[in-house]
Amino acid sequence: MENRNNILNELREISPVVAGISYQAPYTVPSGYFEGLPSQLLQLVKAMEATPVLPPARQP
Amino acid sequence: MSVTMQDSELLMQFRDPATKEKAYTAIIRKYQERLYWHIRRMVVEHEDANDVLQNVFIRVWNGLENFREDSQLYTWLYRIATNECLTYLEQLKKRSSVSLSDVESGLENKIKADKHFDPNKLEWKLQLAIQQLPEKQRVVFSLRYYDEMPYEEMSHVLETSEGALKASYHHAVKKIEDYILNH
Repeated sequence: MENRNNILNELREISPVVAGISYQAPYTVPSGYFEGLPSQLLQLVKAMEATPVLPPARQP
Repeated sequence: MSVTMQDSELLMQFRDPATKEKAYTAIIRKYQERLYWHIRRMVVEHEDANDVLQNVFIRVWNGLENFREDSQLYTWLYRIATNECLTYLEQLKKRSSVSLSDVESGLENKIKADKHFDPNKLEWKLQLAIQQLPEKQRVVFSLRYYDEMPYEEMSHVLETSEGALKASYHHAVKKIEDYILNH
């Protein structure tokens, strides 16, 4: 990734107004979300693989 | 630019059935936060970001074996995540039979509905300004401003020339400035 200073210098040249804003997005995430995600996703893909694919319906 | 040594190792492990699951969770752990935030800034709500991120990592599970190591793993992941976001926004538009501008105002309303939303804080105003941008400019702005992505790598993610991306970023910043100064 590029250095934050390079990004800010480029931004200051285009717009000092936007460059002056905190670049942290203000959103929040439920606590523990990232800790649990890898195992949750692994269970999900394994369950999808274990689900048998139904054969196509027979033609009359 | 080809994959880093660490990613190359993870890819090798992923291709081995004995270590595939371990490698998969390691890849998720390594990239989940960056991809989540990229998605979240596009779709706004956590639940939607979670759904889109899930789809991304299902695609990774199904497609990683065929990944060619002539580009970086993270640019491939960002390409999937970006495409999934755009698909999500497209579905949102179709589901509600509304125009893109209605989807954008819907996203604006979601921002305003956030329990921490404060209209006087510039970082919230910035989120509202970002939602006014056309989708492509929104992606370019987000990848450059938040993810600090070099234009060269962004050109692999979005399959667009570096010159066009620089112009797009410039236009996006100017539109954001205009919004901030007038709201």
